[in-house]
Amino acid sequence: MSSKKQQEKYLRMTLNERIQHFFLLTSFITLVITGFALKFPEALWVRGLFNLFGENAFELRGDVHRIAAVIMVAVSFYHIFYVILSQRGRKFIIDMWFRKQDLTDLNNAFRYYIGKTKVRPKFGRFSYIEKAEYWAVAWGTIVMGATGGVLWFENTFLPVISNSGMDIATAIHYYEAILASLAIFVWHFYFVIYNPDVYPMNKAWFKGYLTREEMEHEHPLELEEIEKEQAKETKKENIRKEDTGKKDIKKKDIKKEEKKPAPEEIKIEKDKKEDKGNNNIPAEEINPKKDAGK
Amino acid sequence: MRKSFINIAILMVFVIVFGISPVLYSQIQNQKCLICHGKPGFSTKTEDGHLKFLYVSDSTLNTSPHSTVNCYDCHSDIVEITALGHKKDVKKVQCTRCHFENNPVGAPETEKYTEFQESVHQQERLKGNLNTPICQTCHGSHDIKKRSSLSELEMKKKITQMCGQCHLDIYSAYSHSIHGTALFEQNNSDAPVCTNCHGEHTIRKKDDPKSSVYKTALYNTCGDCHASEVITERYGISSDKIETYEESYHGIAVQFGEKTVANCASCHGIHDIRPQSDPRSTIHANNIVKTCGNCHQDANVNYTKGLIHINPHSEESGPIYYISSIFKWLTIITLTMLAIHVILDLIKRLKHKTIH
Repeated sequence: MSSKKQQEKYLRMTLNERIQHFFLLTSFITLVITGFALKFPEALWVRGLFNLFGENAFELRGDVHRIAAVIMVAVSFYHIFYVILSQRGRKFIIDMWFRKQDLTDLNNAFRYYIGKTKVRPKFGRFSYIEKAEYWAVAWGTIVMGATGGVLWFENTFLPVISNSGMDIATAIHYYEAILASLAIFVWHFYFVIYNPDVYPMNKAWFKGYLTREEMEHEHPLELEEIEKEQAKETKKENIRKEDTGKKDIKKKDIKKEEKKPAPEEIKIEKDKKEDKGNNNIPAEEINPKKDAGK
Repeated sequence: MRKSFINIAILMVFVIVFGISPVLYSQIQNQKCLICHGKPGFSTKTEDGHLKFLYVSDSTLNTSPHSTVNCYDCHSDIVEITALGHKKDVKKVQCTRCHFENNPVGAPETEKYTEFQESVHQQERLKGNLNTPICQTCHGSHDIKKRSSLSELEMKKKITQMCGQCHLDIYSAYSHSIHGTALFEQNNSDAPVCTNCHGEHTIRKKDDPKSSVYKTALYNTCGDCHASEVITERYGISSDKIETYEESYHGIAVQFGEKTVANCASCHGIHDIRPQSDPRSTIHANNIVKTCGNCHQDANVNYTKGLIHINPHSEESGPIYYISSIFKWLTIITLTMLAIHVILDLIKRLKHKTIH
């Protein structure tokens, strides 16, 4: 029973969000490879790649880099609309915004790491780790998009921003690329891949859900909230059941009433282009005001 | 007593036959030729009506490295000399008659003849252009001299004049360039001449990918001097011009084999390279927009603002230096903090895992 409970599924990323993440990750990795290939033409892996693609490898590199850039910028714009226009998106950005609690969490995390306390800080839907990552990606995309655009249309921008301006754009594009790639490889890859608790991988990015066990490890506060909500719901239902029981209504009618809200919920999910397969709707979804009011 | 006299006589004969006689013999042969060719002004009229001087000075022959070589050894197609002279259609001398690998006469061996076969001059000759130079065009024929008989400066000057005989317009452009004035006016033997960039026996067309001045290879050729710390230091110029070019967009594209991007010559000129301070220089403040405009049609004065050969690690680069420094430290500090956090987290998680 308990092991079955441990495997219960909790929605982490809707299909829409997973598609966004997929486009972001493929375009990001493509940009990293095709970008550094330009900066380190003598590197062994670059030579290998260029031998693989033959004569037109140089042009191909540039074209692929630009296509990937367009995809990344497009998915970024989509994401902006997503967090403004959809209900889940608005909730997402509110949960993602920094709070005082994050500093306390950081402080407690270090106290825990150095052994001053035995309790690991409990995180909600997004820990300070994930928040730092998310906003770093946002910042990086703006910087890389702007400087990359200037470099792409060099004959348009060169007469305007001067040769020095182009050099500055080139330098920023290069150094920010190093910073961003290292941050992703060290920070993100650690928490979603090398982290011993999720190794070989946190599968939420394609499965969309976390198990109860994973929730207990990474997002215990969120889990608590979800359970509170569920408890409330069951309480309400129990009261309703009791009420209906008193009124001596037949069992069939009770079933009908219970079933009624279910199709509505699915409909809402559909509207938000969410994955129907994941039946566990996060607590925040049901009561969005709760968190926003904090 | 008599026996020893005979012995000495036999020895004398041997010495004369095998020792002295080849020298005498060659002199006799040469003297035969010099009966006519030794007269100053001895000449003939060519088919197209030009006067061709055929005078060969005795002293020229005797001071050349070929002093022991006989006329016949080189002019091997002349087998008969009558009172009226010899046949008229004398062929060009083939140096490879002696100068080949493992030759028995001890002529200096060299692979340069093989190298020369692939050069533009020989290739053009094979196509039927007989105006192209052969060995003796550059090295001289009867007046050939050893390389060591000339100083570096004399030799360099001579090379430019040698090439200039045919490539006159280039000679004149070169002689006014910064390299040419260094050679001719300042007698600077470090100045590059034709062969320093184009090669000697390996000269190829500039659009031959194997050429040392091919679009994608040129920066390395210029780098022979301009990336050399010894040479650049001597003249107080920076040695990082090639390196910074390699890091620039143009340089990176060139390394990938792009042929449409600018190389050294695109901006600085080819044979008429002048210092930036010279108003006729392609990179003089008044001309640089036009120079950029050769490729970038919209080039305006903003193209000239800022440094071209920019080294982000040098403080002279201004904003680029500060940006790269800020990013360097930003990256180092951020990554160190992230790494510390990751390592601490990893240790705790691993411990926690082994306990449970």
